[in-house]
Amino acid sequence: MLNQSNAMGLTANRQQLLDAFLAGIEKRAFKIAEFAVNDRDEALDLVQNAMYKLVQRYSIHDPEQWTLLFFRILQNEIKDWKRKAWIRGWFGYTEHDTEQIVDASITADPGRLYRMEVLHEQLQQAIRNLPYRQQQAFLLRSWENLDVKQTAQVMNCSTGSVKTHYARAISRLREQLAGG
Amino acid sequence: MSKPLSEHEIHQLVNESLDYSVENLDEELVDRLRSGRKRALLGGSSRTWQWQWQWQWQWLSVGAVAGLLLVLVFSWSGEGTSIITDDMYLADEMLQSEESMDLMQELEFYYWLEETQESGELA
Repeated sequence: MLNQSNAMGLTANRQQLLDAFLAGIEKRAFKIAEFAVNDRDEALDLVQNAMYKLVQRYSIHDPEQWTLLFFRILQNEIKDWKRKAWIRGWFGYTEHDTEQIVDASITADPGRLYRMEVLHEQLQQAIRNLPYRQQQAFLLRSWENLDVKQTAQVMNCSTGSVKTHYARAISRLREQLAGG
Repeated sequence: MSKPLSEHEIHQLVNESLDYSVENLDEELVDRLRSGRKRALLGGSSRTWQWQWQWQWQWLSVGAVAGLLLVLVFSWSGEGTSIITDDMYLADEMLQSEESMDLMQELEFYYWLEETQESGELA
């Protein structure tokens, strides 16, 4: 399968690197996209498009840059999606029904399962309730471990904006978790 | 009253929850992500390209209808304008023509002459 992708001008080594990179990031990217668009299928599409564009346009770049590039592409995909969703809504197109992700929680420990389920649902809802920019700044900073400058590059905004979004996100999450 | 969560605690809680959710994504979703990755590496298309194509067709049809309406509006108003313009040009030409003015003055003179002859004023 990987030999076929030589048609894209990628060496086998580069394909393996890309495959490993994308395999390591795809699930988290999916969750970030799903939080942003609140739709499972659309989130899958956005992630696949981001993967496709990274491979097409940036595969020759230094692999160390791939994380930032990938999340920048994904953010652009999400923004485009939101813009189109807004236009579709404006023209009266019906949106997809929101499909919440139900994780398959298979575990042998019912106590842990229960605790995790309650906490998990509470936290996921708290993140969903964040305004989009705050949500993405928080996820990129906290979960993806990007620093302020990297987050600003990904979100195409100033470092000051990232700090503000992030601080507000923390404050909101604190309130919501205390209230829950 | 419980102590508010610190930033570090929020980080830890959220990250644990998110990691947990990622570890427990359902198999179907994981398969779709995997096949999407393989397609991306092969340079293949996704459902979105199809969707974008549909989107483009929607905009093309909207553009075509708008263009047709514009053509209709302009052709309709164009006809009206051309009639008025033709008449206006004709009147302008007549008024601006010195020969026409002379002719009108002569005609006026002959009408006056005829009227005065009939009324016997000149006699």
